Amino acid sequence: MAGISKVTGGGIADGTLSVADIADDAITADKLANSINTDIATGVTGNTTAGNALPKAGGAMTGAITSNNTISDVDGNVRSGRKNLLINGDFQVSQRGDWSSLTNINTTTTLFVDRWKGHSSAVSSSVQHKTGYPYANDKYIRVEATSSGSGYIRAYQMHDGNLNGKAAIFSAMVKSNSSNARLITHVGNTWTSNDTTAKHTGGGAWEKLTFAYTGGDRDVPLSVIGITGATHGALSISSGDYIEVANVQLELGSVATDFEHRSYGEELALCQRYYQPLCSGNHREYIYNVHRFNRTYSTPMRAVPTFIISHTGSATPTGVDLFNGATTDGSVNSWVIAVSTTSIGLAGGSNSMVDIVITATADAEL
Amino acid sequence: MYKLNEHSIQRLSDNASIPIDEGNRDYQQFLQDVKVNTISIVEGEDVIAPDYVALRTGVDGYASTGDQLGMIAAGDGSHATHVAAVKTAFPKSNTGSTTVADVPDWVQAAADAVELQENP
Repeated sequence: MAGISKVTGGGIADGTLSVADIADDAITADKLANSINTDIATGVTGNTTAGNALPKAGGAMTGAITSNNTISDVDGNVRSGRKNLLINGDFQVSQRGDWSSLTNINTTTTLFVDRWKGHSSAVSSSVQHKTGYPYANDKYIRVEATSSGSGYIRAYQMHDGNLNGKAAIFSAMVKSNSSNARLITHVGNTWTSNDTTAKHTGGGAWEKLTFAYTGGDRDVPLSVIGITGATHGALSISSGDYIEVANVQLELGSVATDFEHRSYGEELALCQRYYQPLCSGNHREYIYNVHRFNRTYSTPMRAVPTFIISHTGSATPTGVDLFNGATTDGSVNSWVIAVSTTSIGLAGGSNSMVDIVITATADAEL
Repeated sequence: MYKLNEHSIQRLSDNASIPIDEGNRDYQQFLQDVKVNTISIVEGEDVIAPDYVALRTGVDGYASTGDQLGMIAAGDGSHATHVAAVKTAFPKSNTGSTTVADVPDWVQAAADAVELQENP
């Protein structure tokens, strides 16, 4: 077929050109309509390469997609699961009790909402578990100074895992009336923060704070939200200074993505590795010298836990002895409490029928 | 204040039973407290000497019910002899006692080995 010198009239009708009638590179960019060139120029940047053919409509693209920048969805994030290294970052779980009223903890480090500690230095403080942010039924926490002085107030979580050398980003929604409210963490043996991205304005509104860092060699990293100096030093605190904190996340990488919402059941199971209430069930049994209760934990615990027995039915042990069973990975999966006749006020060797309901807490928190 | 038990440490302020386990933060706090406040804050384990009831009904006391029935059926006085022997061995005057043992050396050694930690 001779070459086409010019196309006139109605152009080239559908089906006129068959495969390979147009040679490679036969049509150069300046021969395409300007609008097509503009579209290509807009959509293709200098560092983008196509290692594979673009698919036709409805087809799948093969090969990796690479970018020199972030990849965003309509909300500005790419969603993926199991990225939050912190547990109970949205404060759903509170096995240790009801903290819905402001509770004075003075300066004592206090575990309140699961996995979270409230603490203050040199000034007294209160902690509270609140409802209503980001949405009506969502939970958040508040730490408030109740005296003035030079010190700090904070909430923090200690977490398993060494982040040494890893890029990590810590993010949280924070509300405060102090411009010294900030995210801070312990990298190796040094407290660090970022005054540009991780510091609140103090304007009393919710703000998203982020802090990107490279983890140091520390077996038990800390993620802290507090009113404190940039290297966690003391500063002037007034009674009534507060922080409120919601949706706290620590993830690997350098860009803070959207908060990972996990179900209550998932979060509870994660928390139970560190703390869980226990109940033996109701037993009416003969006790002869010693009776041992053997139970399995709901979730294997991080380490052998501390036990506090709170109720024992009609039998009230004055002391208990504790045994624990470990799994091969070091977690602890069962507990045994020995109750003796003498410990419940009966003579040694007595053979007595007693009602026993042992309720206790097992605490293996970091 | 703490009290030692056979398999755990009792924290007297809240009756918590603390395991002797390096990974437990309360055990670590126990060691810190001993290091700061000396061994005087620790009380040794209770040593319970059983009373005559416990001894007579224990493994060294009366024979099993079956064995005693056998002695009675034998009609040779062996049952009366057995009962008398147990009563003699564990007289009613033995009302038992509880003493407190010394704090074992491992507590001080473990406290000496730990480094004092500030609040993280």
